[in-house]
Amino acid sequence: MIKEITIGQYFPGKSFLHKLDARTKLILVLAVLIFIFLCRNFYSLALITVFSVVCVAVSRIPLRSMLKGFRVLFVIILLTSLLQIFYNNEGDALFEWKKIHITTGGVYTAIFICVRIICLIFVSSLLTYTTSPTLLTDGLERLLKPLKVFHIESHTLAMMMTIALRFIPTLIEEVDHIMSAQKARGADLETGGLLKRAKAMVPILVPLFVNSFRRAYDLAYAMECRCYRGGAGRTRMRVMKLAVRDYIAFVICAALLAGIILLNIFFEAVI
Amino acid sequence: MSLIETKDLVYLYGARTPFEVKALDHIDLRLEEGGIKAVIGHTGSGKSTLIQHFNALLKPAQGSVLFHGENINANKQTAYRTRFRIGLCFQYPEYQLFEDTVFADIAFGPKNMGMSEQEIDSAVRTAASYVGVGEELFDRSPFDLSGGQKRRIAIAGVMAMNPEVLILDEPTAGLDPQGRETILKMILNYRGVTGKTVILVSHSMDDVARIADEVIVVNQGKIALQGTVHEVFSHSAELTQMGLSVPEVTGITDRLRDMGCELPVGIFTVGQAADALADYLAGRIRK
Ligand SMILES: Nc1ncnc2c1ncn2[C@@H]1O[C@H](COP(=O)(O)OP(=O)(O)OP(=O)(O)O)[C@@H](O)[C@H]1O
Ligand SMILES: [Mg+2]
Repeated sequence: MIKEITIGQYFPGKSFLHKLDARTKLILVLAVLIFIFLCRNFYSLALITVFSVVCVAVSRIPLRSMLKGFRVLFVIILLTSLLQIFYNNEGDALFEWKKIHITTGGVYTAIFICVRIICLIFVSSLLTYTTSPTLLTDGLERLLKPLKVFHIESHTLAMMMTIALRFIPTLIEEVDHIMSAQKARGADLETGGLLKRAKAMVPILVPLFVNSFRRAYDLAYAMECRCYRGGAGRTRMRVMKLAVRDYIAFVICAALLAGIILLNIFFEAVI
Repeated sequence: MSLIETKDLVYLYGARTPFEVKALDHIDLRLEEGGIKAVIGHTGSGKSTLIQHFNALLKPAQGSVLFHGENINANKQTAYRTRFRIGLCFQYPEYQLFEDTVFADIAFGPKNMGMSEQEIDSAVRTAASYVGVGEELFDRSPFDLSGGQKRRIAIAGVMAMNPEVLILDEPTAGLDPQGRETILKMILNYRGVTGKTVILVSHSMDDVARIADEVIVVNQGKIALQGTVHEVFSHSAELTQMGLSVPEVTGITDRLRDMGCELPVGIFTVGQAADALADYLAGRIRK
């Protein structure tokens, strides 16, 4: 059950997106997220939607597992856009009944927000889907190096992230394991009201915390035993290098930005 | 009618993802009532997956599991009730303790069954006596105890539900020789006192030879062999191929026989080996 949450998971593969340098992907994903918010009308929104869909297709991530992970989020998206329909009263009236006014403005914003959020999710989850956690943190470490000016060690941050990411699957597995073990003793996790369900979590959470602390200590000792003492003087086994495909990706995104700006200028803004 | 029966049982982990693993591959297995049954197999062969089907923790992707001839996954109620009738204790169960006191932790299962205070009290005391946990430990926190003690308390937590079948996944993993010995003795004692069926997953051929009445060998998600200790361990070549071995003493007595000692075949425990060697030596002295 808990294993179905696939957001933030890495799907190994050999696609163009998988092969891009982690730094390129980090920068470009951030850029595209901003582009999504730059869209002012349906034409530019269509452009960015097509772009997102093409990216998903290129990544060769099975759509089925991607959608499965989003199931919960879709409800939230739907609710947010439905609310928009009722709140925004600009434009021509489409439907009126007592206090409820539905207008073109409301419908447009609803569609706009819905598409926008879906694009946001697709693009940002592609980052983790196509980049292994190690490469991701390596990339982040390099990109955050300039923070040294503020006495922030990017290496420490990256190491903390690596460890956190590394233990997410372990924790999920452990939760699964503990749940099974308590179910075997008749724990009932699925029925009852909110309070009963919250109480039913105690037999899961207590062992989970106890084990996490034990594991954290073990890991700290193991790292010290191997003489880990922070980033100073460490060299890398994998040296990151930008390739031609990274420059191609930058050019594509620049073209995308140009397209959005042009479409924004030539067509009337809706939002 | 068999006690537990699986029909064409298939299980996939991560079904329809790039990580799909076929953990159980069309398993047809019949387990009769009574005795200690050992499930052995190489690491990753599917032992843990198989036993989690016996109490409906995992639902078959295909096929069915029958308990006393009834499908345990027929509906949610049956599946839930099966968990009390077939008690399963996981690998490293000490990591699942959570209550403030040893007593409360052992009482978790019985409480979920809806037993009365009195019944819980007697169930906990009986279970604690099976695993050799004295009453002086009842008020201690389970987190302050030694690894071996924690493990025995966790096992008691399952025994306290008074299940018809007790399944233990590698109960001796990671314990020192004395700890292992205690657990093995405890299992034998439990079986002797209650007369119930015990299913045991183990990596130690010596332990299996010592206490099991029936052995089931799992290999790559299939049942490779099933039979008495004698039957299974006489297939030493096949076992080696599956990454398993025969008990250590069997290897030694086989070597001795090759060197010319007239020892009988089918020696699987140290006790049997000692008797056979004593007979052999006595025979030679008489000559
Ligand atoms: N939660 C899981 N998710 C994905 N694959 C799994 C999971 N649990 C087990 N597997 C896979 O299923 C197969 C059988 O695993 P299982 O745990 O049943 O083996 P096992 O015989 O109990 O091994 P061991 O002796 O190491 O405990 C293995 O290939 C394993 O990698
Ligand atoms: Mg196992």
